[in-house]
Amino acid sequence: MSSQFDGAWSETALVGIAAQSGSDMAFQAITETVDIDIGDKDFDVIATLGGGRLVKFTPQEPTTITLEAYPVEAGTDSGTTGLGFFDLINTTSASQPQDLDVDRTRSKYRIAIMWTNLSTATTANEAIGTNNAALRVVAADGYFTSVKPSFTDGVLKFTVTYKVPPFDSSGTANVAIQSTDIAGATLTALASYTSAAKW
Amino acid sequence: MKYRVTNKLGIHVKFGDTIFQPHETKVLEEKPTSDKFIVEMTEEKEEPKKKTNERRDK
Repeated sequence: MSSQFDGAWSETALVGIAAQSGSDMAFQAITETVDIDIGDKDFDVIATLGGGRLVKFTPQEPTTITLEAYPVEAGTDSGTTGLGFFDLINTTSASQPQDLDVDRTRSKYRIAIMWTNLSTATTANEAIGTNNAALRVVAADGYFTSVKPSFTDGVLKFTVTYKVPPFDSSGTANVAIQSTDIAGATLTALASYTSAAKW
Repeated sequence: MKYRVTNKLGIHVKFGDTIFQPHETKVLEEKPTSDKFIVEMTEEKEEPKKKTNERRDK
């Protein structure tokens, strides 16, 4: 499924979510909107008595990705197609019926969102070869912090929030933005997400 | 039949009432079909006969 690419990316996108050591699950079929709030790299200004201004940098804020989606199940018990979101903030289920109790687990996930004009692309983590363009945002080692269902408009819509610090405890980046133009080299596929490999 | 079931994922996974820690292996009597697990059949061995204190008839 390709995005429209005529001076801007529009209409469609690919959304993939992976647990550590798990397969990427495609969520674009049930997702309507994606909002990516890359953490601010802000600064404060100190006014000196001489009328000058000193810049005091503040550490980069966490990045937040919000999805609006229409799942019909509590979670994804199996397979590479995302079916629900409650298992992303609680212990995931691997059988039907799904019975997801609220618990204290906090699980790391990777999320990838990709726009590409490669018509055969089906997953956000795949490679995009030459003669095709793509833009991908990937964030790893983050947590889903909010899953809120709403039936206000007569349809069950979920607003899902994923939050990730800009760096891990070692100072390694948790967020990357990748792209390739049509004449550019291949945008390589994301490596399987593990505790040792983010993308 | 018993199955050696390993959680492939780095997160907690629930199968029925059984909760697997990340990458934990358990032996179950039911075979999960989810791709979140690696499932192997366990080799069932006959239990060795227990020694008894029966007196031998002369």
